Amino acid sequence: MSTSTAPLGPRAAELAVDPVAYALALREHLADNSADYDRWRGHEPMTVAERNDHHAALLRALHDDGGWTRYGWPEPAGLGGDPRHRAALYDELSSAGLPVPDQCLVLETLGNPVVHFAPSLAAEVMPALFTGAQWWGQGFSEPEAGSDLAALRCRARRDGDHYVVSGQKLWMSFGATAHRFVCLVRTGTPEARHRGLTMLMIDADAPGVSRRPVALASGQEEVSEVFFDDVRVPLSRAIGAQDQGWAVAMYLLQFERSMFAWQSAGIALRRLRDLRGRLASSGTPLPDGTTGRLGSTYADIVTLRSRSAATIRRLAAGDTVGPEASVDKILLATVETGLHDLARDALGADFLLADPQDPHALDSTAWRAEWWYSRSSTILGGSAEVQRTILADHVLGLPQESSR
Amino acid sequence: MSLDDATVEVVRGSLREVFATGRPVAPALDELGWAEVLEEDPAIATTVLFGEQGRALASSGLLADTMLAELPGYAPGTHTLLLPHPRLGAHPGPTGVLLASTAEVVVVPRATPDGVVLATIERSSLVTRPAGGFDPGSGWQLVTLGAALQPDSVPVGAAWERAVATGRRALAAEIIGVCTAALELAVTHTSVRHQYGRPLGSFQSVRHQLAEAHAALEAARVTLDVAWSAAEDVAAWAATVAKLRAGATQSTVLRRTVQVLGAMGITLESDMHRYVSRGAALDALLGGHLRLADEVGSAALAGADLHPVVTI
Repeated sequence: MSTSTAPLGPRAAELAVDPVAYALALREHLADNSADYDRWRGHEPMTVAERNDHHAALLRALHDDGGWTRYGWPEPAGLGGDPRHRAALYDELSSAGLPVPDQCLVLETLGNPVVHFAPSLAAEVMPALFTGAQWWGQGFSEPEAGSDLAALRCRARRDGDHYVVSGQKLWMSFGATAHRFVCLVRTGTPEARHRGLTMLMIDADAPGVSRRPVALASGQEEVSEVFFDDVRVPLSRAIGAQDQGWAVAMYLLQFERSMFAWQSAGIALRRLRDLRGRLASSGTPLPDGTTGRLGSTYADIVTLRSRSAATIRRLAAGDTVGPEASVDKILLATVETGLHDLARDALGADFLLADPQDPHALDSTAWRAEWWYSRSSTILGGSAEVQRTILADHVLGLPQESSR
Repeated sequence: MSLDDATVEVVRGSLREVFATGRPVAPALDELGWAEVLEEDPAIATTVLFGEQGRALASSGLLADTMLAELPGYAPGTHTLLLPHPRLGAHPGPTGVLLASTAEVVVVPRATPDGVVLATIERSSLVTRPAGGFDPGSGWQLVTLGAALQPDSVPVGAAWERAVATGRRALAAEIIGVCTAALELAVTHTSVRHQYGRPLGSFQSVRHQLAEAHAALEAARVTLDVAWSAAEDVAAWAATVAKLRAGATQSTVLRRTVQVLGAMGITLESDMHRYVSRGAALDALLGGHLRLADEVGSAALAGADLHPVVTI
């Protein structure tokens, strides 16, 4: 796949070095073409697979009329710039009442290590992400390796110029529809724990890959189980050196804990506006305490934006973000659980009962699905307990837990 | 203009010394050439000054002075500001809270249908009594204005909003200072105190409580930074959010730090009680966190812009 031929504005070079100018230009583009983007506003009943396609089409539209999805990523696949460009994209979409495409949530965690540790692979595989033609899934967790990631067992053995991968991954977001997986696999002994791991990119259509969607309690198949049965992966698909997978994962976590949080904060603010609109026009008394919780939730979102913006600026300046990023993750979980608990409590009967008379029935359905998904904010990417332990160990310097 | 990190540390050290000696703060600040520091970088200067005051559990009229600087025509030193009483609505009790100050003239704000108006009153003509209660060390006075004491008033317009925003940012910094010191005390205590043959700080529940306190404190710090750098049209709103955040943070942090000190935490022998009561008292000034959350929520339901405040 070669560099895109989609038209760029005459100011592409200027926008690539100036994230503020980029944000303003994008805002203008979204405002000038607002009607063209209306199909991504509001809620339609969709399966996860349908939603992935719908969001991919949004990426395509953004890509084809100005190359907006390519800023913030290095050339040649991208147009140059830094993480602030990407942060601006997600923010401008949210401000315009548009979704942040599902694909971008994974792109932000997986795109960065691919660009950093495997630049030639990035040049090959990333253009399809920017057009929405393809997206990726993140394969870290396994049935016996959840919070204890270093216990993972999915194995890759060398065979000539290939790795041969056997094992299983679990809880992969968008795993059922993704075109490629970025997986942490074991190349050393199990006893080597985090020292014997390698990051590999595996094509979803490779022989020996099978997958099974897992439905969350909402009924939405948000995650998947993926099985690898002697899947052959070229050595060139390694991201980073063999047995250096843990370092790649730690590099990736910097973006997962900041950029993902920033995306989520933008989405949360859009959804809080939606909720406020419904509550303000409901005409029925609100449950006790709703007003104050609305104010608190808004303040929590501003706090999360403040923190993740500061972290993103550090990343853009080339700083390494360490264990302190667990604060970002805790603040993200505070927003996700607080916002969705507020929606559940304040919408009351409309949330709990799928009332056909509810004029906002589709929005209520979305809130129910999002409520279940919000519970993952204290689990995925390191559980709430793991984040607190990281802060206690590495930031506060408290005495170690004796059993560890 | 902004202060570099090394200068900030020098300034912080000087302030810590001033507060440690218990000298009157205003003349000590003059000796330090504080006016220049403040002019150079109001955000960092104010945050460090109030942070150190909070850490030292010191009591002064600095908050009133800082707010008065936003209200043209009144000079800190000769004037001080009566802060609105935390109680909401019309009531027969005291009108306001006076901070420790030797100023002889008190500037009194009053809410009217046309906005806030200011009047000045001789300190000697006020009826005051010490505010004891939860924080006996506050040094605050409760003030009751008699009906006969309503002098001519001047409207101040947007300057009052700026003064309140400045006050809220200063209070947020002071609360952060209080909580920082309390968390340090809790970390030290749980690192050295042993039970069941191991340090308290090695028990997961204790570790996690203190990690939560740390996260809350970092949240308050960064929200305050953002309030200082917010665009003018959203500065007051951002200051409200920063004060709300700091107030909620003192509740989160101090609940945990007092718990992990065990019985020591609720005695007069440990300083922990002083952080707890000062944090609560500072939260109450210029809007406690629960009240501000209600105000922000009410504004939102009335259609106020849920402003993103932060841009990248």
